Amino acid sequence: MTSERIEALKRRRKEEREVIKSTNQSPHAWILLVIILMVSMALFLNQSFYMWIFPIGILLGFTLERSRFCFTASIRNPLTIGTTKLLQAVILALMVSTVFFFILQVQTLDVGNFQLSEVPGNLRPLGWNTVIGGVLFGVGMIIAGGCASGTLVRVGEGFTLQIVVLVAFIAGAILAGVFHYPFWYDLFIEGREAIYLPEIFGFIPALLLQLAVLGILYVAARSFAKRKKI
Amino acid sequence: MKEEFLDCMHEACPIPLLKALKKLEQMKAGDLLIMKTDHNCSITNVIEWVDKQGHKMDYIEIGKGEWEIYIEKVVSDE
Repeated sequence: MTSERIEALKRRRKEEREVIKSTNQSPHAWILLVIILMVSMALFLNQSFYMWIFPIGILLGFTLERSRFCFTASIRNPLTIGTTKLLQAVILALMVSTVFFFILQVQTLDVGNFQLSEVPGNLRPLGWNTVIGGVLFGVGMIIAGGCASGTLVRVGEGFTLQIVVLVAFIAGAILAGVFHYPFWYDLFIEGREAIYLPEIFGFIPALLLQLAVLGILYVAARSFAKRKKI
Repeated sequence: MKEEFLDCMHEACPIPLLKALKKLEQMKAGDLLIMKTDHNCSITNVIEWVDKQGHKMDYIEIGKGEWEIYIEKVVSDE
């Protein structure tokens, strides 16, 4: 919400500063589009599957940047400033992906008789390792000011601080993720079964259960924002 | 009526908003706060928080990738 005095201030600040001539960015956009098409063509000739993945990735990045969507802020804002708009958006996104993953999994699997290893997606056993990993990741992303996607988006945007984060992020991913993964795998994952809700409850009840839990979280987030005043 | 300026250049979320929060506490109703930031996302945070508090605000892109956020402190009657 703006006001008369803010409008006056805006006009004054624009006059005080040398007004930037808004540069026309459509040449940049066309050049980028051509590059994207060329990369897609090259992928089409080699691995046609990735021809679709690449533009989808570009569109996702574009959406993240334009919408200023931020997973870090969605977790942090409720506690620091008592706002939950982004958290609600994340919960909604999870509900949408729940429905589409349901469709994908039901179509891929033989519903009556399937192995866990056949389920599309990334099923991993749950345990204290999940909690500890989550806390470590959470602390890191709050200090760094961005999770994985957020950091990438901001580097692309030209926010210089995040370049430092990107370097550390790549170093961490290579050290812990690539070199040490077998160690962690043997320690926490090896020999344990992942929990897959449709296996326990059946597909439709599992879908409804997950949507209900997310719905409750959504309502809880909204009422939390209304009650909390900072 | 005073005018305050906050330089939040090169600072990541949530520092710009926390700075503004502290500054606004010291300000009186009707005072104006100018924040300068190059962090796109902190604008969303500031908008949401300021709206919730009932202050008035708007922002403009003052340079390439640099924004100025203007906040007018409003004290509700409660």
